[in-house]
Amino acid sequence: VRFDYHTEYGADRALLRYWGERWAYGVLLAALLAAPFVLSKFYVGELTYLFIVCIASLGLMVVTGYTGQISLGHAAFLAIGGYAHALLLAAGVPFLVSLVLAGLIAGAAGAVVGLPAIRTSGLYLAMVTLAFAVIVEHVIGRWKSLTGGFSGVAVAEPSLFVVDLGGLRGFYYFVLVTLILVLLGLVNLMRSRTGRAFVAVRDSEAAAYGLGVNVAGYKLLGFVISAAVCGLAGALLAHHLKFLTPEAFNLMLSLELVLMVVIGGLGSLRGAILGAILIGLVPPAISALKPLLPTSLATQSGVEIFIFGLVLVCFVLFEPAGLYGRWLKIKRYFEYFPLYRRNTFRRVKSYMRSERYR
Amino acid sequence: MQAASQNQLAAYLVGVRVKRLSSLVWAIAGALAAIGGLLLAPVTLVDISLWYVVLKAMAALVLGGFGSAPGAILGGFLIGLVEQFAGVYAPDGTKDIIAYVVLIGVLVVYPRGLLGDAHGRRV
Repeated sequence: VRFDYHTEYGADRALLRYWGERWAYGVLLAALLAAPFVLSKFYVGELTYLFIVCIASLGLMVVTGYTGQISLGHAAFLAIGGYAHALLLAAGVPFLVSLVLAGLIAGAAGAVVGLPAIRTSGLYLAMVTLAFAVIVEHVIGRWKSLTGGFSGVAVAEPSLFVVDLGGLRGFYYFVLVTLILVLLGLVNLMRSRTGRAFVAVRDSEAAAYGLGVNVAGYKLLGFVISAAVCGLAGALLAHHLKFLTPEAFNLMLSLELVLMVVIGGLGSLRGAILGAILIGLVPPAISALKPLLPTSLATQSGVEIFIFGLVLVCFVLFEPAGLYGRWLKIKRYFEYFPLYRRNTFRRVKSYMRSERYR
Repeated sequence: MQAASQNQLAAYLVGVRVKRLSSLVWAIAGALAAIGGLLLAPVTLVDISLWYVVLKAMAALVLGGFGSAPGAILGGFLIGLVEQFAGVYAPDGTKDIIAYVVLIGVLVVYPRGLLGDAHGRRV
């Protein structure tokens, strides 16, 4: 059993409160920093992709996990960010400026969608965002003079001031730093007044309104922040793909993002990352497992989608709190070793369920 | 069904078998969708990507508003008609997205769909 005993006020506000946590995260960081020198090129590329997906998943978590607004159309923001970045780079804008601008443009698109979208809620909102994603995909496909249509547009090699980021290693480090910055920014945002307002809006709009929270404003802000982060992820994804086509940002990507957020555990940034890692690892895992399957099964085309669906169904049935919820339970079990009570979490669960009966 | 959709707990307490009911609802919905599929099969080709039709159906449903059978029919007609007319009169390529543009437009004006139940916001 661990006791909270702090002698300074600052210790209460620290992001990592305990030595164990600091050690764990330090080791993780060191491992990630050393990874490109240990792993083969293929795995470095995969890790880079995983980090980009983590950023996108964090973006969706802001609006779905914290503000409670479901969105089935976040691939559109990735697409907008990616295309904006590619076109700005082609126009000669410096890399960093273009990256930031891509995020801002996607954020502006988020505001354009968010303004009408916040009037609706639940499944209506899901349909509005879905419709937006479909529209964006088609517009990108049809607007040949700007985006190159379905034949796609090439992305320039990234370079930071004089350093060339085109290599796998350089880009890996850049994406890692971006991920850490985004994560730190969002962690602090969620601890701030804004983040608490998001959670208040998610838990009960009426109660939040009664407490003087500007419900519509915070919903819109959630959309904008989420879209901007996803735009940033899209811009990085553009470099990873090296060649942008509208098909890269289809409905499947939106659904995958939702899967990540739900499987990771709604309402936690760690969950977003865990979910992104799990979903990001499923395709390589399946391709690794394919030789083990009977050939009649391995050559089927829908195996990946089937496994995605299966994973989601199993999680919703057996672990509604997601990967992060499971992690919390395991952690709590060891922290309070002989005294662990299952009902600690059951009570939370039934509270959540009664919320759903609203 | 209506009781269970409004408040599961309350429906349970007044003796509605909520679990059995939701199984039943899924069964009915599946059967209806299968009938739709039967009727659709001679018109279009049958393949895996048929699930895209469901997106249009969802759009129609949301357009009309939940909890309203006339709304679902109205939404279905609207989506179908708008799409066909756009294919003829509007510039090339708008046919695929016009349904979704209409959907967003309608939901901005009527956030609960055209004929959706207009009960006030519950706390």
